[in-house]
Amino acid sequence: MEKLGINPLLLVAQIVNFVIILFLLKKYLYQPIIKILDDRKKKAEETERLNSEAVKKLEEIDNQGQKVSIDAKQEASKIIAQAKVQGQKEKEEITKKGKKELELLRKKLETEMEAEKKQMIKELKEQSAEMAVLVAEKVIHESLDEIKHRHLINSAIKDLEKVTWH
Amino acid sequence: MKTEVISTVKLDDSQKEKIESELKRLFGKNLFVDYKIDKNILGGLIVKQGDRVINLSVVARLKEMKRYLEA
Repeated sequence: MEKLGINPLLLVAQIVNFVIILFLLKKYLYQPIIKILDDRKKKAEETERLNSEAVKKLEEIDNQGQKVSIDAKQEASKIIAQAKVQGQKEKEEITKKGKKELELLRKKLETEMEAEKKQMIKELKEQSAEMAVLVAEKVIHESLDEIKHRHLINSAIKDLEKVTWH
Repeated sequence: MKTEVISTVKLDDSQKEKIESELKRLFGKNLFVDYKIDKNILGGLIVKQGDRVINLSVVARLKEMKRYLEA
């Protein structure tokens, strides 16, 4: 080896140096760096996991929100439909009631008008009769002479012959 | 019993005779007939005995006519 120019002592010393440096590098450089890198990797993985969970959670919330919205819409539609039916029913009730009241009023008016008409006719007849009697009395009073009076008396006597008394 | 006979003019004897004959038939023989004049009856006769009345006057006929017209 000396012929090749290699000093065995130096070689050993270099090898020992190399091993020492290697050991020191491993302990104080590589291992910390690897640890840091491992930590970063773990942290990144954790972050990734948390992100996935968050996204999943958001999706769940979104789905729930949509479901609530759909349910609310359905409920609202149901309520509107019920309200429409109820409103229609009440409208029909009011119309029916109104028609009934109108019919009652019409009948009442008809009855009243009929009664008034009858009363008017009765009064008219009474007045006409009164007038006719007054005119007849006046005419009779002015037109009858003694002969006609005697004639009426004779007629009354004939009527007296027909009278029977119980 | 007193019987009243009301007319518009004074009755002659034949009329009185006929009337009294009919009154006897209706009310019996013991009659005292009182003849009165009242132009308000307008014509014909009214006979009254107590609360019994036979109204054969023109006024009564007019009242009947009035009732008929009012019916």
